[in-house]
Amino acid sequence: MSSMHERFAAILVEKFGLGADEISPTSTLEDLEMDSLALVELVVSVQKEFGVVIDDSELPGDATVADVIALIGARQQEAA
Amino acid sequence: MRLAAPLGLTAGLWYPPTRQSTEDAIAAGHVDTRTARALGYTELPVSEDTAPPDMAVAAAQAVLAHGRCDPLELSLVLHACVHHQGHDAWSAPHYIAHRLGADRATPIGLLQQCNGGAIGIELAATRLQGDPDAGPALVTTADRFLLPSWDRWLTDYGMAAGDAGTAVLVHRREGPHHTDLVLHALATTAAAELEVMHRGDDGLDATPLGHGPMIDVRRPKKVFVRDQGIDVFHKIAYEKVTAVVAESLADAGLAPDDPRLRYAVLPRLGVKALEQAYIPPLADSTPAELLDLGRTSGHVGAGDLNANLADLASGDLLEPGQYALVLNGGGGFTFTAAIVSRPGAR
Repeated sequence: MSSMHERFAAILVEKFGLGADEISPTSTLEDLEMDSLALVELVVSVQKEFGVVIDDSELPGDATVADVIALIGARQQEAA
Repeated sequence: MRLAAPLGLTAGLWYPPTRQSTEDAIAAGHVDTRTARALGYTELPVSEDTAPPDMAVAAAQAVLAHGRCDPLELSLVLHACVHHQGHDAWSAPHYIAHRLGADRATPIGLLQQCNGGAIGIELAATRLQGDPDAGPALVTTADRFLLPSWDRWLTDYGMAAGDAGTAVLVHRREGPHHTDLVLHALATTAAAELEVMHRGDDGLDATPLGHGPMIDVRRPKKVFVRDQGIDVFHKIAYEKVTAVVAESLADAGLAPDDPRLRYAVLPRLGVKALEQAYIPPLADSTPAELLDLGRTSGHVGAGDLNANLADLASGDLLEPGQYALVLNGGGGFTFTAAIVSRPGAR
């Protein structure tokens, strides 16, 4: 697992009470029961942790953890 | 609010004949499955043909008949709503009073967001206690949530909106008036610092619907979550709910674990919102069984507490002598708890 994955998973565990064993790169936001308000909280936490801005509308239910991490990485590269 | 003497309530609810199931809403793309699951509603009432003031009239006519109250006896008609009532620069409360024949009542509108109906009952009680000559007071609520101005599934977080009218007759238990429920106490507290949840960082210079053709409560709430975090709301809600539960039970002379206290009734919000903001302080305050009456109605605007009173009044949930604590909250924020019992046994 990448450190990006570990840092993102830590948000899901600490902020949303998910079990670490529930979170894999192929887990979708739907699998993780992330509803619309949870997504807003998630993008706020992602901004604090990774310093990038993502809009919650960019996170459809079928987006996987790997997809979200890829989006974070892309935003970091754009900002670099 | 400690009452000098318990008051009588007669309560009723009007739903439109049409409903949208959550399954159909998902299939139509009105809501996604994860949000629908977090809301936990099975269906919502939809009023395409009846305007909110007419919903209130329908609910009130039945309540006045059931409560054996001549409309001319009414001293107040208090009407609370969240959304548009069908006309601009016009008084829905006066329309409702006129249609009911409440010609001696003072009609008053309450803009209290989702706790408006609860505040109406509190004001009614205040009037009855403060003016010995005042006749019974009628509290109505009514809202419908239709596009293009309101998306019942997506305008707000934590709830989906259902269309309904409610009516509660508040009286002194004198004369011929029927008593469905006895009101023993009410407690209300506000957290005015949370008004920003529904405004975000907007100024106050917009024209009506100037922020967009559809009311979007999610937009300012996103700003609140970004700036303060949702935990700030949960912490304040915990403190305020705990306070109104304790005050109302004390004023009603009930211990939190009094065996007569059968239910603690929840607002008609989404399941996840209840689990995060309302159930923790309620469950920590009383062992009474939690009762959720909103899964087939949705959140009915200003009338959740009043609709819950109507369901307690009409069903067999409470045996004579049993009590319920009915909790509500609304944007602003304001929190109210009411203590009621089924009459007939002491």
